[in-house]
Amino acid sequence: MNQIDLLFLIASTLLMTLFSVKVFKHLAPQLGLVDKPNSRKVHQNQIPVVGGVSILCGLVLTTFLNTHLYNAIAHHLVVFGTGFILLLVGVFDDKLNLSARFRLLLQFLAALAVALAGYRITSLHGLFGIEELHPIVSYAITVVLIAGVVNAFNLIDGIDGLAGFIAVIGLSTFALLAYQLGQFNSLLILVTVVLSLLVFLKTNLSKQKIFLGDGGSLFIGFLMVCFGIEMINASQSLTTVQTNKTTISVIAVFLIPVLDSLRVYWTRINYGHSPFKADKSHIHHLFLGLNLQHKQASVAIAIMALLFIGSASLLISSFGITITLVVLMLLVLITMTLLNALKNLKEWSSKIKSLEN
Amino acid sequence: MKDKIAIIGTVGLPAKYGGFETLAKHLVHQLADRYNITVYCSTKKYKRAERRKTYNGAALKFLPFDANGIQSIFYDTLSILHALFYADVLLILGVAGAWTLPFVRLFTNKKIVISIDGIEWKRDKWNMLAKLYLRWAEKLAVRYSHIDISDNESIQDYTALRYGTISRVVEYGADHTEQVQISKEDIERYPFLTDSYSFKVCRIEPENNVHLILDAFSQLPHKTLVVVGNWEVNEYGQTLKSKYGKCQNLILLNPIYNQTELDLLRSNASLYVHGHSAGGTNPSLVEAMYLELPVIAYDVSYNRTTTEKKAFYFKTSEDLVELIQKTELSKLIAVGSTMKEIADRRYRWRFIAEEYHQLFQEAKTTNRKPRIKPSVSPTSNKLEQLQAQHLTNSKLVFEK
Repeated sequence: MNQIDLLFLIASTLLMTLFSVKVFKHLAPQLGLVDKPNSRKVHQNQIPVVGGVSILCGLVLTTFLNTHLYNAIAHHLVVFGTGFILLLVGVFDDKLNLSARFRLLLQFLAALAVALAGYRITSLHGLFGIEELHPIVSYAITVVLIAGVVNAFNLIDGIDGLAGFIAVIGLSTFALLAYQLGQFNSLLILVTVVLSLLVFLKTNLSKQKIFLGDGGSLFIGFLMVCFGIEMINASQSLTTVQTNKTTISVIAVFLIPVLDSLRVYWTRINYGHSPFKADKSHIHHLFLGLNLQHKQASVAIAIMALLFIGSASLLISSFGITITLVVLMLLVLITMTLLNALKNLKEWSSKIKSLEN
Repeated sequence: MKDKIAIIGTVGLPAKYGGFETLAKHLVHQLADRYNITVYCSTKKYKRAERRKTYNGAALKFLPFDANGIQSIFYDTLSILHALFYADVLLILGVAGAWTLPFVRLFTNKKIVISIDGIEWKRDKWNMLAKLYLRWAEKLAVRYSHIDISDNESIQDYTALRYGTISRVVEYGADHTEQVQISKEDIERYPFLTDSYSFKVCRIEPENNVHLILDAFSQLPHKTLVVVGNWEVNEYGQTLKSKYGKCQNLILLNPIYNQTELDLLRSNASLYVHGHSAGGTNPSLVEAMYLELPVIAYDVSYNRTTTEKKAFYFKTSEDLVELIQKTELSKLIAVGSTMKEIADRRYRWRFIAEEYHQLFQEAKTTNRKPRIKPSVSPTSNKLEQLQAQHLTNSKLVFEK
């Protein structure tokens, strides 16, 4: 692939995604793909929920214009095929009114499909002293992890720009890893998806905005976790240092969404609610509770994500993978606890004000 | 054998400072014959020559930390650890050392009675980190004590709402204050004593609304106001002093630590203006009530509770100006008598000490703090079937 090809790929991705965004934004009301405001949501007008569809369509159009990308995607067809099904399920969820259990079942099936195709965690690479996994354990862990991460990513998509930022940061990290690991097919795909996401982000953060939507966040989350596993597997044939670095970088990318969703589930169960009961306790709500604007909160969380990924690569150069992971998890949990405490402080201050008057 | 009580968290005895120290002094005075009391004191506030081994029958232990500010965490923690060696009941005043309580509960059988002293974490004087710590410490204090004490009913509502447990309300005594006759020398020092004047004593902080009160009186040149406080310690005080110091009718005095001198000024005032907006029951307010002064207080729940909604209240300086201009003398005198009646009934150290005694006794037999929210809440449907919908109208004590 020469420089002209690369420039053409970049230009065609940007143009095709932009074109898809324009078309779907226009068609959204007719297709019924709009989000109506309610008490839990922070926006006030109907917003087109066509981010995921636009990104996928942009990708498909670009693929037909570019042979290198076409070949790369052909290698990962199972990921895109399964991701497409998840996207459709997400898009039509509102209309079909699928139960949460059925959705979860579909996510497990999608995870199983890619696990069977080789996107599977076969070793913990010394994490907690565990190396090779028994195939059954390997499948079980892979399926639970994929479904868990996809859900976590879906939950983080709560304010403008956040899911987009986290995805851009995550996929760019994977692109960097792919480059270091010599995985040029993956690199090509990752760069293309990052470019489409940037186009989406620009619209998402503009006044005439669109949302990623459930389908979009499921699709992007799914792509992320599959390529994360792909990177870890690709690093296995290299040195232990390289494998550890790749593994911890991939974990660091998912740390905020995953730990946040676990924290939210835990809090809900503690209060005697269902873990899936919607509320306003996610990490972005904690930031909004500090009187930050949406974009500011998204940027703050994105900076946090970058800091965690950076700390991960710094720590892994001096410590083992287990210590690095434990330190990272503690850092995330301490940050979240502090944010939660600040939010509660604010809430109770106003409650006390009303008690005093 | 008498039970051993450790009083932790005050600056020390003999009392020279605030509300907790006065409380400790009177608890010792009233209860020393029933308990072996030890009071922890700070060497930072007592010179070597002033440090006594005992005070009115209570043992004194001195620790080399400040009882306030960040050092209070170490001060309280060390006091608590020391008390664990001998005390049966720990009376902890303030929450700074509350982080130790989960461990105390886990490893010892000591009984803990803690006074959370208003909603300390909410006060403007703390920075964000201190607020976070104090709020966390308050949670531990309430969760891990056998009995927690609030000094005002409104704070009891707050702890009930936040923690689902009932805090005990024990206020402050005021009968250590007394009416002082004016002498010739007094008039030479304080010429305003010969005329009618309003009075206020407080720390000069925004939450005590000194600015509102000074603004109001600056519009009333014929009404004298005497304010005693620490004007020089912060910018707020300095600004107010330079702005209002030249007003003829505003007399801004530096802090007075001599009880008789302070009593001289307030017991001869014709009106007490109370601007505190935080901190539960304020000792200075109950003392003014005990001295039969008519009270105009800032309109917050704490002050309304302390005065049983029978004083005058203001929210703005305009309110205050209007109240002072329009309230008849007979009404003021009537309010003064009502305040005295309330103080006689509620704010006497004998009663307060007796309540602490009861709480110590109760703590000895208590292991768990009862929760006030029902563990089962029947659905309204079920109640309907049982023809018992009236139960949905019940309100818990803090749901006002």
